[in-house]
Amino acid sequence: MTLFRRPKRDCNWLLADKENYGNITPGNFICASDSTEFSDIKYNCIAWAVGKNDEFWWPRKLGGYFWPEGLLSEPLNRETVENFIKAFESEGFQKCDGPEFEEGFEKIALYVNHLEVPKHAARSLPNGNWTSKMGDGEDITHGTLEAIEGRGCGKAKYFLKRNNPECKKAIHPKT
Amino acid sequence: MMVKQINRLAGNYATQPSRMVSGGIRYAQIVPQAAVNIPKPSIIKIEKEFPFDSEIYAPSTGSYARMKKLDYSSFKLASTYLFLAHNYSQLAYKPTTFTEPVEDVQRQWAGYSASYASQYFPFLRNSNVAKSIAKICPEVATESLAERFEELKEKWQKETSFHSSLGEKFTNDSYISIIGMGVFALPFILNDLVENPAHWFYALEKIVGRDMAEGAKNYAEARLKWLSWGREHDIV
Repeated sequence: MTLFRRPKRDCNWLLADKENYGNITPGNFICASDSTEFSDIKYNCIAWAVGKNDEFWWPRKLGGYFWPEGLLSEPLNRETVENFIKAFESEGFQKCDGPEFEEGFEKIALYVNHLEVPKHAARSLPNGNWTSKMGDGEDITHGTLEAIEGRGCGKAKYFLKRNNPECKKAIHPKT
Repeated sequence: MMVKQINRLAGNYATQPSRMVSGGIRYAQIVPQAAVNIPKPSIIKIEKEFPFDSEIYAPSTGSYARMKKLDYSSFKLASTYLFLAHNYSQLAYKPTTFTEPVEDVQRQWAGYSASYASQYFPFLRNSNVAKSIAKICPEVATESLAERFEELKEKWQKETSFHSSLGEKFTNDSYISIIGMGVFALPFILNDLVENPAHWFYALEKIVGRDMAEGAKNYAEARLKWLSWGREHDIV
């Protein structure tokens, strides 16, 4: 049986996938975690955005996937921004105006496609960079939100923030 | 035996005598025009209007069925024949045009595939699906379907593994085609789940008609529940 595995710490697929990740270059991101067969799939970008790596967050009522209790299960590809924002709010985030670094806060950027359907989320790091779980693949650190914009993730359009005393200074080492 | 079954089940649908193709595997051939000869709704009890146009295409013969707002009965009948044609004649059907939510189509396809297959083929109600299929038609069961499953699976993973969105993963063409294989896909999916973690829960739920991992909050828990169910039914 064919095993679908990628080598550990191999983000080359991102660079190769110009169709979906046209903005990615070797200089604007780094691989941040190992890509192992099982850990790839047990969490996704939405869970990672709220700081979890043992749940797969999606508004789908189906065994194996998680969505905060009381929030709507939505039809595939017709998920709504409002529902995702409520999910983030359940973890203490609140809507804010933009992605700019604010001392004492960590932020989430919600990416949507041209139909306003959520496709991805990234979380700011204490040093001002961003972290993203890329599909079934690795976590990466990227200096800008634009670095992963495109057909794969959509565009960063909605922003939320919550208190995090560790976020003290923007460094942006990779930008 | 397989050809006789198809002839009997197809009823008015004309079939040609079996023929030999490369590899010496025996196939039944559904005549293209027969495959699109959908019974007129007037002779079938209309249960509910089918709410959208759809088109099913078998590229190996050029046969296709185009259904424009048929009633459910007609759709079920057409689906059944195309399902049989696919699984027993190796015609690769492919749902190609959906003007309504794909999820609804998936549910219909999976449900009809499973219920009709078990209705017409009692062996599918038995516990070990894979062995039963192999007993009746070893070529189809062990090689062709396995190859088709692997091909679709790899294409699906290649096209969606970079997405976090379950919408993107579950509405992918190849994933839909795997669901369309119905109960025949179960042994392949479940055995794949043993070896490789992948997002099979949606396909399993659509094919089986129930979420056997209901309530599982994470991937590992759901995987164990589905594999336990598969072992209980001797599919894994």
